[in-house]
Amino acid sequence: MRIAGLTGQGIEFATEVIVRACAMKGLNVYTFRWFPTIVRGGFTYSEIRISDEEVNALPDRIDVLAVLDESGLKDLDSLLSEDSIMLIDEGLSIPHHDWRVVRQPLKKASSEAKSRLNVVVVGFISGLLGLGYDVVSIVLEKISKKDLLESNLRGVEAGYKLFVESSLESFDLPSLSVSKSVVQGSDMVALGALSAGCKFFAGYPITPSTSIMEKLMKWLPEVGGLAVQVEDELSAVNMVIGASYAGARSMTATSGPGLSLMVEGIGFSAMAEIPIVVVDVQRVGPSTGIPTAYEQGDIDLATHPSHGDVPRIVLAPSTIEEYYSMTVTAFELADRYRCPVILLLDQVYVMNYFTLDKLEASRASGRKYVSRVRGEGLQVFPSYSGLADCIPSPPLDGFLVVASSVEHDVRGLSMQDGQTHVEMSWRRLGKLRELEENPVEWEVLGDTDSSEAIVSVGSCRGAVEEALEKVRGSGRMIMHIPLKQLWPLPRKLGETLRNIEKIYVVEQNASGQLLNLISSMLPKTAELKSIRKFDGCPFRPGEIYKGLVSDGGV
Amino acid sequence: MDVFERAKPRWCPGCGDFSVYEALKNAFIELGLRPEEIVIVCGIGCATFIWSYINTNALKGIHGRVLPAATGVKLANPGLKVIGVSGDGDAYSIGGNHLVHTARRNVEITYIVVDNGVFGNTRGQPSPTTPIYSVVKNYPFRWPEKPVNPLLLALVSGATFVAQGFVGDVKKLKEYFKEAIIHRGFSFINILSVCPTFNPTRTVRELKEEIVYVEEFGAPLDNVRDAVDLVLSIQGEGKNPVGVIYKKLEPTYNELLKATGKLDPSINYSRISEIAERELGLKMLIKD
Repeated sequence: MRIAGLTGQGIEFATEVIVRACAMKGLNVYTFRWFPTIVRGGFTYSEIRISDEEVNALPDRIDVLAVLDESGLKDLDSLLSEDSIMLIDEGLSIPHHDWRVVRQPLKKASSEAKSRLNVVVVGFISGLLGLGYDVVSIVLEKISKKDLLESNLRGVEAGYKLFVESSLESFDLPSLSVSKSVVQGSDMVALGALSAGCKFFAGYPITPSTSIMEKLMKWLPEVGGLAVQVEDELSAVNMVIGASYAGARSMTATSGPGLSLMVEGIGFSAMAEIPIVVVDVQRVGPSTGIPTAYEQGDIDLATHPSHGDVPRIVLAPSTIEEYYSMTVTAFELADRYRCPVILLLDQVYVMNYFTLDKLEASRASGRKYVSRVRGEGLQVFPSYSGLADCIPSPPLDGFLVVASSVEHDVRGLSMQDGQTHVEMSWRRLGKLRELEENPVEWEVLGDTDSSEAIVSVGSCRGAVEEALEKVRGSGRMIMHIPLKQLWPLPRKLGETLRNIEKIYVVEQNASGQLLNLISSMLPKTAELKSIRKFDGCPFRPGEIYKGLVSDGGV
Repeated sequence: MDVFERAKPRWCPGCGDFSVYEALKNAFIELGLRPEEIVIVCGIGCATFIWSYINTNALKGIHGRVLPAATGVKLANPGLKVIGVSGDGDAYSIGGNHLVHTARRNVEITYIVVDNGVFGNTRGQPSPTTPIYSVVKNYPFRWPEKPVNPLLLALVSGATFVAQGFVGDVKKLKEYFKEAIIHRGFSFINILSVCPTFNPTRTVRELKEEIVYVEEFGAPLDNVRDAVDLVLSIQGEGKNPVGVIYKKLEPTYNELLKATGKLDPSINYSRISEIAERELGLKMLIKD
């Protein structure tokens, strides 16, 4: 279903109520919100897919569309069918159509109930979906602002009454025994950071990553950590480097424009071998782009983030659960290889609502410190020699700790001759060979002995899997690799695809950044097809399906 | 050789950085500090080479980012004495923004800016403290920009310790350093320095003639308006105030954040589970 209208009409609140009511009934949801940067009066919609089975993508059709303003009748393409119900106020005019329009006195009901239009719509929808007035009331009591609770309850009641009087048939969504939790990707990243022993965060507000900072500012102090909002991204990345040098697992989070600024710090972290985790929630670029919309256009920048030969690890989780587990992985790898790890995330997962039964977590190993060494006469600790799997931080007993952005010897002391640079470059770059051979995050889905394969990235996974179900129905076998370790590229990728005849690369950007990244690994004989989209919205399964069944190359 | 000597300092003959090196090293010694408890955070520029010569912990960072990196160190482990060292390019040009914000946060670090009015490391370009109408290298006209006023900038940004030193008076410089290092808050010292190689018209002798010691005027003051007035009145006469101009005790950033101990690396899963349960109604199953 979709609720459409203007920003300021409370569509986000309405979405949250419906999502939470579904979760209480044990149903799964997948949500996506389109919204503009202006806080009042811009076109916005929220899409909620509800199922008793797992859902990991947007739907191909909209069964219920609730319109709060005429301008909400946009971007509908072919999503409405003749069975779709369009709920609209009796006073609104709509263009020529062949939709099933349900006109209701929604505005009148809201003014009579002295309530807001969005909650009246929620009331009507809760009747239509069969969510139950009682369930919705419990949700309202939980999430309403105190002074609005009474009016919200009145509004929902009024909307519910309109539904009852409308004699429409209810969808009668089932109630499952165990209710679910409602999470956003930002919750998962923040919890992942806590679980990895992250104790310091510095960030600068930027859509769509701000909520990660806000959650950590609230939660980190509870586990003995600290999160600060600073003056810019340059400060943020250098501050987490300082904190990591002083012994704390540290992280920053940003979006593309901020990542552009942070590249100097990513190079510093790599050179000084001070582990940091940089979260990049991608948005539409280049430059300011569309700050609120979805795109996977930072693959190029994240995989090639700084000048010089920079050791770096780039991870891209593909499910909401992985937003948690791979955040933990990011910290473990950063410390293990003493380099920056960039966690490349998608706006759709970070900002929207999803349902989970529970969260399975394994214990992180945490930072391994250099301890029980005893220096004589205050030498500088050999931080950059083989024995440095453990990370030194000051104060060390009898040793000094030096970390440097300039080329250095094994102790970190400035040494700017060619031979040292050759040796230290091999040291820095050589560290990641292990990860190239044995990627920590690697998965092959579906039919492993097929002659066709899909490589996807991030949140494209869900839509690809759903499209593949349909393809399999027609007897076609296709392997699916949701690529999660973008740098260093796993050798396994080339090996797995060695005998594949046709390869589809699925990603959400204009230039095919994933395809370019992996092209050297693909068999020269294979036929390549790029399936990509960059209109700010996530793929729908049907769009991938179309790409898989239609002919034509890139 | 004392415990704070790592290597023989190498700067051009007559460089002001030698005085800063001597004064800082001796300040550490006289305060009874141990090298293990000090972190020198450096940016880019000739003065910042000091990390190679003074034997302490060191974080040699990138251009202009001394203060964010130093803040990170102090927040993660407030037990460390954190000393930032920059030149005028590092501090007032590329890193200018961070000075304002670190000062207003009152982070308990000492920030030393060696101000010689020129980009010496890149061989002589004008800096943010180069006086207007100066004759500068490879530029056919008089320099058209007014200089930054570091003391006023620090004062109005909320620094709780503002001083100006002079490389021609190492003894006093050392005393300012000592006072700055024990100050509980953001201590800022701009040092009037020289670059005989790339800014030869600015000499120690010439600077000395312009100096006015602010003790004579009852400094350090604890009122920003008085301190600003003092700086302006001395500068108005074409002179340079030297000494500790302003000092006041205010809560530090660490104190306000309640981050007064080293950040504990241990992971408390039951506390994290509580957060997940409370905030999200989410059950966490921790596997061993």
